[in-house]
Amino acid sequence: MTEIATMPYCQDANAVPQHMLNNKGLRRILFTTPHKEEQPSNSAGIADTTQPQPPRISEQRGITAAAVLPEENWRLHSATTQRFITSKKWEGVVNRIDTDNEIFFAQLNELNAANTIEEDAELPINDVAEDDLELFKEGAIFFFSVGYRISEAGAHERSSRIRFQRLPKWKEDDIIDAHNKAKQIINKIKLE
Amino acid sequence: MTSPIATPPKSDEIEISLFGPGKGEALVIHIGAGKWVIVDSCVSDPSGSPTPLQYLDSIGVDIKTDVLMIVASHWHDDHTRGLSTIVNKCINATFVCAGAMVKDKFATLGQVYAKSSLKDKSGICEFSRIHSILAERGATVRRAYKNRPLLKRNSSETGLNFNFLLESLSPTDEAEELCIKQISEVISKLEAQRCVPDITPNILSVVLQIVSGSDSILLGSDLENHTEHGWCIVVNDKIRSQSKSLAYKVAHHGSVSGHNDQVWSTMLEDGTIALLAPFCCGRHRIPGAEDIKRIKTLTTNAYITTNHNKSLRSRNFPPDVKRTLGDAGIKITPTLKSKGHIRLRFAPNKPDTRRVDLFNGALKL
Repeated sequence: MTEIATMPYCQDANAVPQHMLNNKGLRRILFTTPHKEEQPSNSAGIADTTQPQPPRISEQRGITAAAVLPEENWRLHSATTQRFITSKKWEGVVNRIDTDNEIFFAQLNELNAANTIEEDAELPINDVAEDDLELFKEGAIFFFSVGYRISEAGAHERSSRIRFQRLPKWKEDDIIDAHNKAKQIINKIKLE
Repeated sequence: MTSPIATPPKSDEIEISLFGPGKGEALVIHIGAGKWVIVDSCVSDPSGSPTPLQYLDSIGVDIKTDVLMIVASHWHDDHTRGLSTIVNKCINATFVCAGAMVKDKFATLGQVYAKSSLKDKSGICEFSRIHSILAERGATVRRAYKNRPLLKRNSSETGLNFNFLLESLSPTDEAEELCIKQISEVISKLEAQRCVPDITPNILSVVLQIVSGSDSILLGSDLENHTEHGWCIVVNDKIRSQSKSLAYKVAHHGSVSGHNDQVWSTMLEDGTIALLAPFCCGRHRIPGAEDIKRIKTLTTNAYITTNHNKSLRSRNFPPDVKRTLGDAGIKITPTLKSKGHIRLRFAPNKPDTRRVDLFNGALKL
């Protein structure tokens, strides 16, 4: 079944933080296809690894040893016009982050599928949006969608996106309640 | 005609059945006279039914009366999936786990995460369901710790010609204290947590030793090496039975972190029967090539529940989805769900009766 996300990005529950918007109020959106990082080359066109390398965006973003997209591969999109049509959507759990290979492993369950299908996925770390980085850790829940972005002019572009689940913050009272309930349960179990 | 897999063991035979679907493992143990112990749980069927129960049902075991004990070696997801169903159905079985798993601090984590969408995915939440079942029943939980006899059956009681003992060799009190301390720290930071945190559970793993007559078997759970709380404690333990084991459920899926040379040299017979269940998550697969090489130098009798290195084909996605995934370098493959089963049977004190049978894709390393 095709799901149409009619809500523009800026009105999403995962609202775009101010620092993600440029001076025109537009949001930078990461291209979903991974690109090789360009290296400085010598006159023969061979990559020169002796030259100082610019800081990797991944390092700026706090991902150790992860490859990154060069700035020119970031695009500007109007935050108010973009739509995303979902062809398939999964719920996933991050199982392992492999910064050496710039990927993370996850277990996926397709949402809205007739039968439960468990799948393993390897996804590029670069596809994690900057404002999701604080949530990106082993054990975290995310949603992975494949579909089309539709521009204001109506152009369709195949795309995928990863959004991490934002749980309501637990309050101290929630934790006290959980502790009291846990105590009640454990007190009914005898230990030997 | 009954298939070989559906044949129950003889009354005087010990059986160790290891199931490993690819991610997860469970052991089903016949302790003699038609009685059984289940260690951990996994699921290899789309129905979600726990593999140990499916197997016992297939050989005609009455799980309500004949499963005497359920051991949860630790709370990791790959060892607990379906365990609450087993606890719920095996109403006469004594539940065994490390003491830290039945402390209110650990249960608090379960209560918190039970409200999130992690409820079906985390071993902490599986434990939370077990706590509720046991509390409702007013059950008694037997704590496993170093050198604790968990289940004894004398020959006078069973009418068999051997005594049976199931003993836990870990964890230590210190490992439990460390774990509870870590859980307390996690709870103090819970407001900021968005996923189940890693709480070094592998030093809490319950290692088991079975002694039946003059034969013993070592079940290594997921115990790893640790300077103070890991395998060194078990290896240097002078109180445990010093007899060498004829079979070993290799610790932590055969990983190097679970390997200890002294276990092989001091606790296992030469040519011990090594039983392995792999751990697969995408390309991350244990045991790796080096692990397999190491294990094969230590014994020629190593078996694994499934060929975990076989490549799986992704399902048939619509062409546009397939192209998008390909362009983005995203690989999605079905989770390996083997029904692989290694079965060791033997009559205690009779070495010539030892027999390993492999079913549903299990193979020799």
